[in-house]
Amino acid sequence: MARWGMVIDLDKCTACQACVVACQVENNVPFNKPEEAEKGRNIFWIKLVPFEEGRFPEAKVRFLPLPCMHCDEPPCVEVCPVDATNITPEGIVRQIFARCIGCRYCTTACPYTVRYFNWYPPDFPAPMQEAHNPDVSVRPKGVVEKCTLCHHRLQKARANAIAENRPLLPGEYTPACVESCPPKAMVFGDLDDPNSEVAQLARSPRAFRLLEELGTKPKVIYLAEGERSATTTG
Amino acid sequence: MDFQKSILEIRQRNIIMIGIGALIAFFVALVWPFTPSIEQPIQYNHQKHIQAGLECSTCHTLYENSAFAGLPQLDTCSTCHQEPLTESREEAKLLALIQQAKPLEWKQINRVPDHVYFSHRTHTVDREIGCATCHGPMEERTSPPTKPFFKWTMDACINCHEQRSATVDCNGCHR
Repeated sequence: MARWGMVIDLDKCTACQACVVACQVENNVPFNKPEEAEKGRNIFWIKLVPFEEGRFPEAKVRFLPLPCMHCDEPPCVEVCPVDATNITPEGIVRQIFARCIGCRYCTTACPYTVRYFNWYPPDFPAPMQEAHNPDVSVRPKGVVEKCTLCHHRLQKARANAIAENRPLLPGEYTPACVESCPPKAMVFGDLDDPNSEVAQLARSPRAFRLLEELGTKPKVIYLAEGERSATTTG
Repeated sequence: MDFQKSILEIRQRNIIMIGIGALIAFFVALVWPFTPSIEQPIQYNHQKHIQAGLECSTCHTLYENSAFAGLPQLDTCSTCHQEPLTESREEAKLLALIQQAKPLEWKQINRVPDHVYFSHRTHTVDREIGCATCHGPMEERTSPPTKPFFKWTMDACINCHEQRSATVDCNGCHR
């Protein structure tokens, strides 16, 4: 059985946010009013986090695309009282929107702050309502949502594989963010398959995981920028 | 005395009114379940078409190769119904629609919630589950169904999935 994971090469990432836009469109992520955005109530299943470093004239900004880490030991799953979020045998930390009661324990438990609460009913401008992705449900007010690794694409890919009576092929299931990445900084695949590109990159000396010390075992692996990688800094 | 009399009269009138009301309510309650709640553009007769040798897939063209079954459009009907084949009033309605080039607006009866992924192809072709399992004996119907045969609840889905040892993984269906 596959263990889905993602590698993001920070050296190749140009911070263009194509992944952010692709994700919002693919998953019917609702907009928000500017005043609510100021309260931090915007929803981004993947967001670009800036890190400012140093002072002028040596100031620098680093960017980090931040989707759900799909931890192997997810803290959010531990606290959900209704089993609305749990981890699949394939390692996707899923969110069953219809089951969520909106207690927001999971948003508090998540150390990566990638879980979002729907404070308002979804409000799309008129032409956008016609442009919804029919494969993804629009979440109602009062439930928590987050990156699902585009598992609706896995559902479809698997249905195709079953129809053709064959196993799922590598590359058949890819999330929207990975597909849209112009510099191909994001790679997606089976971490348990030692020959897959994603598994090979995950073994790279540049590889690191966010907040690894918490023991969450994230399945989103970053490749450090050249000058910070273990190969160059020793 | 006059006062008492008038009260008696009012009571009698009230009792009669209540009686009439109850009678009306009784007849409404009798007829109510039989009035069709959903009006289809044509009172399509499944029985006749199946007896004429048509398969489900002749009109529901999508179910064998997609998630959806597909409700037939006028093109599908007009492959046979170019000229009146019978003296049926419903066929006359259909021919009028074809002439006016108006779309056939079927009302969908069986509908899974938006947050559920259901594939007709996976169920009927890959797992070989007959249409009648969920749709009931359509070949006996002389008019379109007004309510679903299968109760589209999660319990009902899970029941069947457990019996057939199909997936009960949340992500198998939820999206």
